[in-house]
Amino acid sequence: MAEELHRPEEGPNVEMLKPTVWPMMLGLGVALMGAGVATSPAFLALGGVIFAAALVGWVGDLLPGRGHAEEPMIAPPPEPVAARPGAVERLRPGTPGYRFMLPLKVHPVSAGVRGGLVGGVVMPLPAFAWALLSGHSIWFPVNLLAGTLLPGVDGTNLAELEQLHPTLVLIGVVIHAAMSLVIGLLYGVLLPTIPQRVVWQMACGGVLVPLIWTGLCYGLMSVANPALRANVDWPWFATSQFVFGLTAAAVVVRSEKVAVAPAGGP
Amino acid sequence: MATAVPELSRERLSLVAGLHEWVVTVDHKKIGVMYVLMAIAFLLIGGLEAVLMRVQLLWPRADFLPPLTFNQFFTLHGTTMVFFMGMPILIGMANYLVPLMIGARDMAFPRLNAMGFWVTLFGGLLVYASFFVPGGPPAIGWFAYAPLTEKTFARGPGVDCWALGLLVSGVGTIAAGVNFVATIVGMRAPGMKLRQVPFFVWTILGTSIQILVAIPPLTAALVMLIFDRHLGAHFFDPQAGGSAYLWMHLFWFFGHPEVYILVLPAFGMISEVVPVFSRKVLFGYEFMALATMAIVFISLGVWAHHMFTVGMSRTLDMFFAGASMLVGIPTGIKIFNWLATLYGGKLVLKSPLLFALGFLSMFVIGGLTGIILACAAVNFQIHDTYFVVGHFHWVLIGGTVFGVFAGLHYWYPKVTGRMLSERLAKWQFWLLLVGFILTFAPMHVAGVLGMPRRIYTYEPGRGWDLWNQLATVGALIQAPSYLIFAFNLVWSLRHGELAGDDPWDAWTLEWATTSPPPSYNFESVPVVRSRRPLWDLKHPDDPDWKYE
Repeated sequence: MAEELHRPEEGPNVEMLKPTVWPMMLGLGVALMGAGVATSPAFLALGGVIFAAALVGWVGDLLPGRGHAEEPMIAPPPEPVAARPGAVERLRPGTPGYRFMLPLKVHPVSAGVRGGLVGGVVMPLPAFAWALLSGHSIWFPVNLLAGTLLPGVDGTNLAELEQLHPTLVLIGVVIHAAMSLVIGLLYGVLLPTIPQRVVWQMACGGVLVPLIWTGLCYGLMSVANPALRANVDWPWFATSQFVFGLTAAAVVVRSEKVAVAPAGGP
Repeated sequence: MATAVPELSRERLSLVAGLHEWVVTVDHKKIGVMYVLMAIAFLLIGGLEAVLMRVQLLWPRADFLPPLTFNQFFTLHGTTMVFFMGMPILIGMANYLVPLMIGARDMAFPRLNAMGFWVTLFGGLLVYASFFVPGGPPAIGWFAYAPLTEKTFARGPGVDCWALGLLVSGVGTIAAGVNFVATIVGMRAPGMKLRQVPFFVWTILGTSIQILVAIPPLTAALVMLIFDRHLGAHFFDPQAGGSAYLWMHLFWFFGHPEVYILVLPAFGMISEVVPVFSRKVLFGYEFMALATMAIVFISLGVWAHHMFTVGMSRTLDMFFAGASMLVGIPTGIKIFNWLATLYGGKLVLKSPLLFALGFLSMFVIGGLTGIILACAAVNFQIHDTYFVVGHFHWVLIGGTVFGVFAGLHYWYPKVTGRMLSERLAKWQFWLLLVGFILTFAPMHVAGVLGMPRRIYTYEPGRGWDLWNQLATVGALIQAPSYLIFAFNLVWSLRHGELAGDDPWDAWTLEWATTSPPPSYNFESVPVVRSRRPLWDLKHPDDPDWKYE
């Protein structure tokens, strides 16, 4: 606000609406009519009469000079307001945190998008490597991933899951791209909030988050995607997450910081 | 004795005069208080129904409640908590606070505001009047799936009382939505731009938009239901060419945004409490506002995730699964913003912040189980199980109820001029937190183990016994927390410490006036130049507007 208070030209009185019973009566009329539909026409008729009377009374309140009244201002002006000592500890000018400054420069959100995309490109490599080394086709992990969104994949036999299914591939790619992008964005937002040492940021983005994510997936996949839970090799799954996390975190951390625009505009 | 009679008469007279003053009021603050008191009364009623249901489920094959009574109670419990506790308490608090926060003397349409309250109250009474009609209250669930509601299956007038009660109260809700939009858009203090309103006001604007889009389809569906039952229409009667599926679409088009109608204002309360009790400004105000509006619009397009198992096409399943997961993004943004506001702050661990922290931790869990349910493949497995009941309550109690308690503890001093007892508040908080977790966490497990919702009893040996017993014990721990709160409200009114005008050293305009405020709110209309007008007033040497 407010070094000043805008004082309109008004006296010690202020014009306020007069109290009125008609809104309550109108509500009563409506409710009684409802009760009448449910039970007895007598309520319907009574509700209708009350409703009509209330409507007339309400409209009467809208006529000039009827619905308003001058009310005296009885309370003293409340400003300046003093905080009640002892309720909360007040911060004094000059003490740390008095005016908490945000960082002047942060990693841009676009770095998170880039990190997510680059991580998303690199992440399938361990998955494909696992597929080939374990005697599956490269479509196997993609088809399994599609089962997260598509019901019925868990009922498909293994031979089918080895084949190329354009729909499943499309869904798998969409899921992978969307997840990579969202988690990349989260990295872009989160990593700058971690203490500014690169090692902490890399540890969080490259190790901690992938670990939590792997644990979460391990716990939930039996319900969310039973086919993936049954067929995936979890150490390889975790490796994919680490590869994504380290790549995305590295892209974010290495990005050039930009100045934060002042809040609220000029 | 000779003097006692006139004394008594005077007391009666003042009681009548006092009641009359409240009945005829158009003051947004009194209307707000009436909404909140009404909601608390319904909370106690709905809570009692819940406890009775939990006692019935304590043991397998229990016969504490007959099956019909159990069905009637879960219908009334859901209806009460959503329509006559959840929405009214939020609308009531918004009624009280929005004009004060934006520097207005009242709502845009004060008489409409009063009517909104009365039709909501009478609507609730109409639903409960079903206890006195032949056949008793409806036994249809709060979602009232067709054709259960048709005359063939529900012959008594209980369903009519239910439908008409919701219809009547819906008029009040829509009136409130119109009033909030008009007030926020048109009655802000001079200088207060939309990007400077307190964050609670943003969430009420978003909620009002949702109300105006989501409630009318429910109203239409209820009118169609009344037509079916009384005028021989067949909208929802599949045997006569109607469609039960149509009811589901109409109901859930209202029902899912309703979850956000119930939780967005709580987001707003948390966004007021967290900064004040962290002694920092809200982190990322613009992003928070954008996220709020994103939630408003995305959540209007996710309703059919309640209907994955009715046999929609795979394309629709995928669309609604994707859209439902999308809501998690703006919600996640909010969570991070609240955490970033807390981060590095000088936390003041009074009861409002305690409840806000309870909200933050619990709502995240509720949100995550929501994403699990949004996944169509998973939903097929756990649809209509206790997992859904656990999730729903986790969101609405972990989100709305904790948020509302944070708000009530924060603004009670403004409304009454007295502080709530901190000791009672802490008892209430810990009982609620422990009882809440113990009630609803086991429901998730029981659901995954296959326990269907809405069953009045179950067979032994299915692995559900322990989880139900834990849930019932949890409910019995939770119940006293609400009673303690009700007692605290009344006790502190007389015995609470005097609050003064600004007990929390806060920053928004409602704290710039007296506690309680006069009927006209402000002696002079304040001029606003930043998001923390009261900070500017208290710190003319270091005002916020220099930095915004």
